[in-house]
Amino acid sequence: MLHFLLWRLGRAALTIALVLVICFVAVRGTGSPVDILYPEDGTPEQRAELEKQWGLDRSLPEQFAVYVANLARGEFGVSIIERRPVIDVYAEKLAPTLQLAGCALVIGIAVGIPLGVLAALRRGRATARLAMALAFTGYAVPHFIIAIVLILVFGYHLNWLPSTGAATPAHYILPAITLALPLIAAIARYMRSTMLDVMSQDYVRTARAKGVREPRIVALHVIRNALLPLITVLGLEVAGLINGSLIVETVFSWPGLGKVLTGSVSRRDFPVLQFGVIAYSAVVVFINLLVDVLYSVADPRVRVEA
Amino acid sequence: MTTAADPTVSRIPAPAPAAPEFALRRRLAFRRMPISIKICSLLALAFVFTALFAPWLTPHDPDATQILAKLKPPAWMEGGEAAHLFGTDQLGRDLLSRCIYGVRVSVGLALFGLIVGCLIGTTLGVVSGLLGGHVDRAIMMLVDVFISVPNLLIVLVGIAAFGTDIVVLVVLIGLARWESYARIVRGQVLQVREMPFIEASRALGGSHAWIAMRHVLPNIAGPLIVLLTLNFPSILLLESSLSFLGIGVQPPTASLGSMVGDGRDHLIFAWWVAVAPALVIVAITFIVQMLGDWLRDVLDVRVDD
Repeated sequence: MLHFLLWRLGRAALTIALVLVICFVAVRGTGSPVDILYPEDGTPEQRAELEKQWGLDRSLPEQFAVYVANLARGEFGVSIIERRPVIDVYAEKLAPTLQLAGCALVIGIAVGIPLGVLAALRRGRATARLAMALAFTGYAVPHFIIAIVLILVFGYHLNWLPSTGAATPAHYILPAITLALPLIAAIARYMRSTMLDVMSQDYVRTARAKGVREPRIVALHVIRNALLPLITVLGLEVAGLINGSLIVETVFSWPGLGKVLTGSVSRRDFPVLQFGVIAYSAVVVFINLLVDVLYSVADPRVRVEA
Repeated sequence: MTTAADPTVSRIPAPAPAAPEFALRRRLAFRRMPISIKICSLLALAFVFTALFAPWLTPHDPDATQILAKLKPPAWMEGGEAAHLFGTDQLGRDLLSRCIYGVRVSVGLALFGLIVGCLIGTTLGVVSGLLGGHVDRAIMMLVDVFISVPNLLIVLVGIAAFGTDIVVLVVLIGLARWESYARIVRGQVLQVREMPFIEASRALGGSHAWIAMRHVLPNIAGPLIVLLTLNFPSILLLESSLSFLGIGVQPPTASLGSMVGDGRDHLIFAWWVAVAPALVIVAITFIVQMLGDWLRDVLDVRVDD
């Protein structure tokens, strides 16, 4: 177990290191980081001060070490546009993003799992075909198009739900559904295939031979065993959820991090973007680490494979 | 007891014998396709044709503005004109012409991005599989690490640093999926590597590069084609999402994604401005996804886990 944990921790650290290298190279690759990371109207003295602080007169590996040390001390820089520490910019926008992503995750699991189970149990029938066709659509249609269709139908045409901002609970419905649809599709597809796998296992046949009733077999033997591998998929889907939330939040004018991040790209506010990329990657890496450890507790066989 | 008498065994289909090359080609023949796949492949050809010959197909100049004719509805609706089949946008530009050019830009970008990612991934996969050892472990570690980083974030960093030049976009979009090729190709190479003809080539003095180009690549073409087809929709969606956000292809060039983005501001009174390009995107991804699923089944390869 210890060996597995160490191996897994090492991989997580390496992932973060890679993200840092990418950010570092991107900033250095376009010229002097002082031009990119600091307001243009700074005095020459301020610029010289910064160059010294970041060790720009030293070799690249040394510069990278300084860069990492600065980040480790929590010095992520100042937003070029807003003129305040990037941490403040993020702190006030964090809650809406987490709430929206949380809602989407709950909807995705609550709808995706039953849909996948249904598709597996009624394989070949009309209901299963319909469920999988829905899942297929969720897979092939991008977030921003789902969003536009939902806004058109429920926002403007039927006028049932609001489509911009996050003022009331009703504002959560459209963006959360938009974000959840591809998740539902992925979970349902995966749930269906693991269910079919489990249903052909020997222990299910044994249970059937013992005379256990079908609903009990499905609930106790099949679904429980099929749920386990789903944990890993959920971990991987978090990255997709983050990709999606950037877009969905922009479409619905959500007061969260999505707009901050995408806005920072078009305004070239590199300190904001850099912090966002590092923080988001850290979240993804941490969740995947957690998932792998949880999984290895639940199913010790994976430790051997590592 | 014979196997035929045992009911549990007889129900299990016998494993298909290894299909020779000509049988594979026959399975891919047009007349053997199911009707849905026939339609999809014809439509896919039509889209490629549209992308290639856009300048000769458009009824209007896609960037020509006509303020007096702005936000005209599609021809079949009240107030629509036959001259603008899909209607016009907020600047009076013909939507059909812009969609045709949008297909050219979006499909073109996605195709080149696909090639970039495939070249990088395949090269690393072949190197990893053929050399083995520390090189293999290092490359696979890199693949593992790349899978767990949200690729949109990496693309954002790249765009912020290097701008939205077409070449930058192609490379960044291509980089987003390279690891999937590396993984599949390495797995295939590990299988092919042990075949007698590789050993023979090595005994005759064939170098790694020669073996890779002459013997390995032709033998892993099947899974690679399937993977390329299945990756195409996600690459197209990545490009259109970026353009939709306004950080991909820049105006006035029409990309399907940026057209949907433009139309977002006019949803209430002129829904067709956003819906026309959105339908084109959905149609393309749907068609290619169907073709990819079919290819995977016909060529009998496992590319996703």
